Amino acid sequence: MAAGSVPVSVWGLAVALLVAGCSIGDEPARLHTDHPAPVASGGVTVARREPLLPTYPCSRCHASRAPDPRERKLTEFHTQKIIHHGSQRGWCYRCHTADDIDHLHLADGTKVSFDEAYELCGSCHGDKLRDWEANNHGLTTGFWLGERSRRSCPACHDPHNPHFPLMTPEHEPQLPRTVAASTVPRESTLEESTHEENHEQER
Amino acid sequence: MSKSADDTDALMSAAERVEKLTETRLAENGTRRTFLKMAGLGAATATAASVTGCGSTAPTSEEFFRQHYKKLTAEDKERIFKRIEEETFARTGVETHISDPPPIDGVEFAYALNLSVCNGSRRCVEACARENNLPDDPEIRYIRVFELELGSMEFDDGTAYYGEGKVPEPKKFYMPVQCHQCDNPPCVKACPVQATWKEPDGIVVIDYSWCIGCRFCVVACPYFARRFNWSAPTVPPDRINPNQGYLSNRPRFKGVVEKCTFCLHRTRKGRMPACLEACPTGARKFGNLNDPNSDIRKILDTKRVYVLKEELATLPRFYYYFE
Repeated sequence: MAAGSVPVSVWGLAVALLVAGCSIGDEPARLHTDHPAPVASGGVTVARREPLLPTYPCSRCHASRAPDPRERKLTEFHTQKIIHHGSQRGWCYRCHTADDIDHLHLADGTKVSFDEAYELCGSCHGDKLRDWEANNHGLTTGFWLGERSRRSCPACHDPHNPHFPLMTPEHEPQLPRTVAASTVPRESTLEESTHEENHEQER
Repeated sequence: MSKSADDTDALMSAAERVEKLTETRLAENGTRRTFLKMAGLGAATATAASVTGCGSTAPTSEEFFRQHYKKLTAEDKERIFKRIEEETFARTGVETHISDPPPIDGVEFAYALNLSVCNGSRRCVEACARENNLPDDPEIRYIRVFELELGSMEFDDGTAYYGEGKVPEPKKFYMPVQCHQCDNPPCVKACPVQATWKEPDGIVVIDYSWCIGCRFCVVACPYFARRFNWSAPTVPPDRINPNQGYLSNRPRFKGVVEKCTFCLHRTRKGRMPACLEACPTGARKFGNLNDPNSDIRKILDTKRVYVLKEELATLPRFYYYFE
């Protein structure tokens, strides 16, 4: 009886150790372990582009002009449209459609509207399109729990010059008063000098 | 103990009597006046007990009060919100609305920031200031944006005080830092009065009326995310955001600590935080960690993600990633 109980307790100890080892090894990295049923995020709509285009529909002017497919320097209209995209070469009708100027077209000739320009962008930039569709690239505003609005590519990247423009940042943070005071010369007091002056002196 | 047995018995029975009396009184007729009377008596007894060194069964004042805290009812809250709204109106002439949205069941928030596209424009900083009614002088801002050398994570070589030219500067990248809503928050542990705590949806909040302004949490935070009101914060009336949360952007006062709350008065009603909507580059992403299809989960699942000062085991809910 006594001899039989010894192995049992040994086994019990071994199992207990094993269980303890497992529980340490499986300790979750995060503290939240009991996940209730997920609250699903809402749907996404792509913000429209056409109402924002100042000269849309293009056919207002182009209907009275025959398309000229020759590559040339534009001197009459659209003089500011200079291509800084990819190889720096290209021509309007690579993306715009000569016989239907209110639409763009993909490489295979499929017409897409200006609202669907992301299809055209994504035909080259597939990785960005994938991230954009997952809301991991680009600006998505609205409700995380509800309807969201996703900006199309041209909202941030001018297709003719897609590099994101440089910006002037908002003002720099106010220096802590103690730091600001230590940069003030001995003869002037903190009350007399503004923070801007302190910045100047620091520089 | 050198006390005689008689003394001890007398004291203990007194303490027990008080306890019993308090319980009966609270049970039968718990008006505020009787409660306060009893509480004062209990505290006096507890002090006596601790002085004589025989407090093994007598409740300490801390124990006594802890058992008899009164939880605010919905009506109590409404009354408090109304009072604060009236105070704000009297001070500024602005009609505000205070709410206290509870955490949503099954939701845990997380934030991700794309360092590849952040251009350091500080639009988030200012949008946050407007949303959360932050004062301009002395300036309080929840978000600091660091300008760092490309390929470097040395904060000593970078600066938050940039802004001479256009951004992004060549060979620099920008790293906004705000409250990381840690799952293991050092600030919460540091608070001596439990004025700050972690909510079920992951947001670390502060009860400004409970904060004693000791600033232990400010030093405990390894991200320098908490701000102290050294003077009474003033916001121009035309800049006051009337949509206010009791635990987020309601009026603060001199001598209390505040910080980013993921805009809980917006996010607990389903909206995105203000900093996210202001970001011109779309670098900021927010969502529910428990929803496998949320934006934030897709980032955590597919991107190279890291947290700031991981070695401190604060378990932040704020992730940085590259594309």
